[in-house]
Order: sequence, then C-alpha cells, then structure tokens
Amino acid sequence: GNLKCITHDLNRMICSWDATSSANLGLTYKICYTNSEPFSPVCTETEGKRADLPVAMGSTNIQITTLNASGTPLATETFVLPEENVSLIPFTPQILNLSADFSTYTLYLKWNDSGSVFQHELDASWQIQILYKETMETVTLINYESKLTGKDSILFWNWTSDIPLECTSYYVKIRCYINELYFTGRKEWSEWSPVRTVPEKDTKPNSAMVFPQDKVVLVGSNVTFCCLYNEGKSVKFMNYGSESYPLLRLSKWSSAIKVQNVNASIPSGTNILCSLVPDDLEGTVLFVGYAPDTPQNLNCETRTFITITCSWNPGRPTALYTKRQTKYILFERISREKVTCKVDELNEKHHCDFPVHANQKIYNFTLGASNPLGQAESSLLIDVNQRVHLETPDKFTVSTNSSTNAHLSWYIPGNFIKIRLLCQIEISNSNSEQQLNVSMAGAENSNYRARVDALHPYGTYTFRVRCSASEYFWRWSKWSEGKKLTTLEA
Amino acid sequence: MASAEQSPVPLQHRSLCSRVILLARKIHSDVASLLESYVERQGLDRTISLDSVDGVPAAAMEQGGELTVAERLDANLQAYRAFQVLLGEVLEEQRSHLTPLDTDFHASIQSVLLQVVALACQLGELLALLGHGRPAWEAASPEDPGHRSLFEMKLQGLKVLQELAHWTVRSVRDLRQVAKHSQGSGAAHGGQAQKE
Repeated sequence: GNLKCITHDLNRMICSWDATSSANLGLTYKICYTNSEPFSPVCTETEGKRADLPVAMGSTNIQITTLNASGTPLATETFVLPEENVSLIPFTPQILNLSADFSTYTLYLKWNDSGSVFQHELDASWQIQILYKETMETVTLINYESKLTGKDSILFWNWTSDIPLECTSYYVKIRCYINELYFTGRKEWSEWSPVRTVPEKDTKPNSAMVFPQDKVVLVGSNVTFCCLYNEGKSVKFMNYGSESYPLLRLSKWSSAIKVQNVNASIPSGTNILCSLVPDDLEGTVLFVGYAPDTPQNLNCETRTFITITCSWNPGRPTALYTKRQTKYILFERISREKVTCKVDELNEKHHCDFPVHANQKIYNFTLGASNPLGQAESSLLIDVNQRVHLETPDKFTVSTNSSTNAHLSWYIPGNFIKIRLLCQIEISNSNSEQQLNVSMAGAENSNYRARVDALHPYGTYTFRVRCSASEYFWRWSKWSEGKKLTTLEA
Repeated sequence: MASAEQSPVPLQHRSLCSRVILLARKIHSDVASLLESYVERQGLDRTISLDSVDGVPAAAMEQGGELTVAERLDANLQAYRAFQVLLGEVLEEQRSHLTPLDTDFHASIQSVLLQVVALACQLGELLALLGHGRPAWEAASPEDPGHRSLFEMKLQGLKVLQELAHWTVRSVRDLRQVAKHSQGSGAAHGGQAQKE
C-alpha cells in the first residue's frame, strides 16, 4: 500500500511503496504501468520497493505484484495515480563556488541552475540561507527568482554582511522550487544543498586580531568591530577611542562591539582596542572621513604656452591622508589625454599641469577627485588663446643715451609666437605717474624691447612693465621690478 | 717630594662622562614632551599596555649581577644604537602612514633621533678612552614596517619613546658610576706617584 511518486524533471518519476507482505527476504516486485493512452502495459521487475516510471499526462495505472524467490506471485496491488498525486521536487542544487571579498564584507555565490533538466522555459525560485556556522542560527534567508531556459546556466548572487566576514564563520546553502504552471501535481522545495563555508575562514584564529583592519568609513557610519582570539583567552574589554562599549558574543572565539554614528578621526586614525585575558592587547585603526568635495574655483590658464596649469580649491577637507588622501586626475576630452596630478596636501590651493598641444585651441577639461569614500568632478572648457597669463617680466633693464627718451628691455619665458602681446609701461617720477600701452609680436623665450619718448631732460623716472595677451585679454602678468633712470641733460 | 700629578685621561674621561650625562638629561626632557604630543596624535592612552610590543631594548636591569664599567657602557651603547634604528622607523611611519602633514611633530622626533646618535657616539668615545675599544656597528636598515598594522605601529612608537625615556634615566645613573669609578682609579694613579 501507500504508493508515493515524486518527479525531479517532469519526465521521469520515482515511485516507492510499502510491501504488503510481511516476508521481506528474496522478494522481487513486478511493476506494470499504463496511462490513459491506449498502449499495452509496460512491465519491469525490481528488488527494491521503488521504481522509475515515465511521467504521463493524466493518470497512470500501476499494478505491483510481489513475487517470492521462485517467482511465485504472493500479492498484487493496483493503483490509479492521477498527476495530482505526483510531487515535483527539483534536484538538490549544488553550490559551485563560495568566495569572499573581506574588504567589502561581501560573499559571492555561484551555482548551476540545471536548466537542462527541463526542456522548456520555467520560473524557478531559489532560497539562499546564510547561517552562523557555530550556532547554526540563521543570519538571513533570501528569495531569488530566475528563469530556467532549457539549458544549464550559472547563477551568481552576492551578500554583504554588516560585520566583517572575518568575525565569524558562515554556512551557506540553497534550495530550489519550480513553479511549473501546467503541472497539476504538488510542487515542493528541493532539499537544501550541502552547506558551503568560506574556505580561508573555516579555521580557528591562530592569533588574536581585531577586524576590520585599518578600514575607511564615512562620518556618521555605524561600524561593528570584532576581536578574534584563540582558545584559553577571553575579552576583558573593547574600546573605541577612549570609550568602552558593551560586548556582543559572536562565537567561542569572537566578540564584537557596535559603534554608532562615528565622528571624523584624527589623522592617525581612531584606535579600537581589544584587551584580552590573560594579558594581551590587540587593536586596529579606523579612518573616518568624507568623500572628496567637488573641486572648487577650477581655473586653467597657460603661463608659457608650453603647459596649461589648472588650479582649484579642494573644498571641504576629507580628514583622510597618505594613501587615503584624495587623488586628482585631469582628463582632457578632445585629446583623450589624462594626467595624474601631484598635489601637496599642506597647500590650500592645488595645481596640475597639462601639456599644450600644437594644433589644439580648445581644451575640455574634467578634473576627477577620488578617495576610498567616493569621487567628485569639475569641468571647464577653455580656448587656450583666451587664457594666457604671462610670467612676471624678468631681467628688466632701462637705459638712455638722450635727454628725452629711454630704452627698456625685458625677458618673458614662453612661446608666444602665435599671438601678439600687450605690455603696459608705468613711468613715474616725483610728481606724476603715467601708463603707456605697447602692442608687440610675441616671440619664444625672448627679450622684448620698447622705447619711451617725450621724457624731460635730466628727469629721474622709475619704470616698470607688465604684459598680457593682446587679442584676448585674460590677466596681466605681475609687474616687473621697478628700475630708476635719469635722462641726460638737454 | 713629588706632587700629585693628575693624569690627563681621567680628567678627559670625567668631562666626557659629564657631557654624556647632560645629553642624556636633555634627551630625557625632550622625550617627555615628545611623549605628550605622541599619545595625543596617535589617540592613545598613556597607560595602555605595551607588553605585546617587543624588539625594544628594556632599560630595566636584571636583579643582582653587578656590571663592570665596560659592560655598563657597552649596554648603553648597544641600546642607543638600537634606538637610532627604531626612532628612524617611528619617524618614517609617522611621515608615511600616520601623521603625514605634521611636519613640526616629525621635526621633534628627528631632533631626538639626532641627539641619540650623538649620545651613541660619545659612549663609543668613552669606551675607547677606557681602552675597551669601540664596538663596530653598522646601522641596520629600518625594518620594513609593511608587516606591521597601523595600530601596531602606534604601539611600537609609544614603546620606543617610553623605553628611551627609561634608558636616559639609567644612563645618568650608569655614567655616575663610571665617573665615580674613574675618579677612584685616577686617585690610585696619583697615589702611586707619591710613592715613587
């Protein structure tokens, strides 16, 4: 009696029954089955009380005859098995791979959906269960939907813990449920897969340690720290900074504290102490800061037509330094060229140089700022000819060989062959000051000259000069140093 | 009658002893203030247990076992040579990992380091003056801190400074012993002169 049939693939079913006859030794069973189609019965013999039969639409008529060792029938039972009494229980799934990224507290799961078991598309539901290995307590149970496609597909899924993965060991297992709409039998979850654990983590800690190690988090985060220790030790206290926190026991070898809403840390980071009995002290450091601010007052100009210098203010300090400090990359969209900027954290204003390209006038800059907590960017489009900011005129000399004029000369580094310069000469003496604008052709790393007329004989004057681009004025250079001159007597 | 003539070596010896004592005291006071700024910048508590930190010369002397002058000086010299390397590591770790922008703080570590170098030199001279020969030494390159976590770096630095402070106290005591000993042996020389 009591025939029970299950199918894993809607193609074959495994039926099992209880033997009617009490004698068990040497018995064999002859199973004959037909279904609603007009076929003659198919028979098979088996020693075990289970048989593998095809799944048929509608009902299946089954006749089971118990035979003794010499083949004499002892009993015969007939069953009419409607499809409704067959259970669809998918094959037990297998986890192909379980790996962990400890820096992001993330478990990565990979498994095969065995879609080839079914010849057509089906909706499949999966349950993924994560348990604490030691206590077998469920951490989380997740439902995941997928579509079987008639072919085997590899499925991926990941889970991020809110505490470091090193803190305790986890078991992961999965099971499957096939929602075949046209199958009228019962549909049940598969067995759970064999459990998997993260390979590197499935061992007792060989020395005490605190996790996470040297992590970087945003101000305001909630952070869990755990202290791993080995047999014979226990935690006396755990501090965050100078404050002690209530201990949470995770396992035989692991205790934790939860810190809420952390503040920005000092440059060397906030210390987390784990004081152990007998006498041991372990710890770690947490860096609490901000993501980079949008670079402010981004300005790009050329001083020499050889490089373009972009400068900016970093904005809100991130409270992060050394390898956690903000990194800047200057990217130019037209030439697709990228420059990694070397910035001096001590300096309020940051600079970065980008090469001027021979035949490029327009530069579409994006300055990217990134640190372990995030990124930001600013953009600026310039016409390099309209952003010329010359260096201070150097080697400025004044001379005269007459009573009414003076010869001025100065040097400006840079290659200005393609543009004209506008220079302003300031002439001052004890009772007047005037400015003279002179336009001249640009040159390359060159000396420039000018003559000033209409001076008074035997007059003492102070001269200085500054220059800018002539066609598109952007900024004056700084003034040169002043030079004094007395014209000859008339 | 021959007058007691002071042999030049003990005098030179005692003046070197005094200079070492003075330098040791200076280092002690500098290290004391450095410790204050160190614990503040590392967010540490002065009373934190440092038992788990090793590799730092311990100033505490084993009980009993009276040391000879040479042994005393040599122990001091070895210690300050070790501190040269250790302080170099502390400075590098502060610059690269822990307090990169704090140049004044780095300068104060550097200053103590230079004084320790000077002290080691003077101790070497003293040993040579006493005829014990100056033990050769090559400053080992600082240990790669790569294997230490940031927290271990902080503790290590604190232990280095604390033990250095203890050593300077011990050095003053040891050098007084050495000076007293040289005074005694100087008088003995004088006495012999009278006998002749």
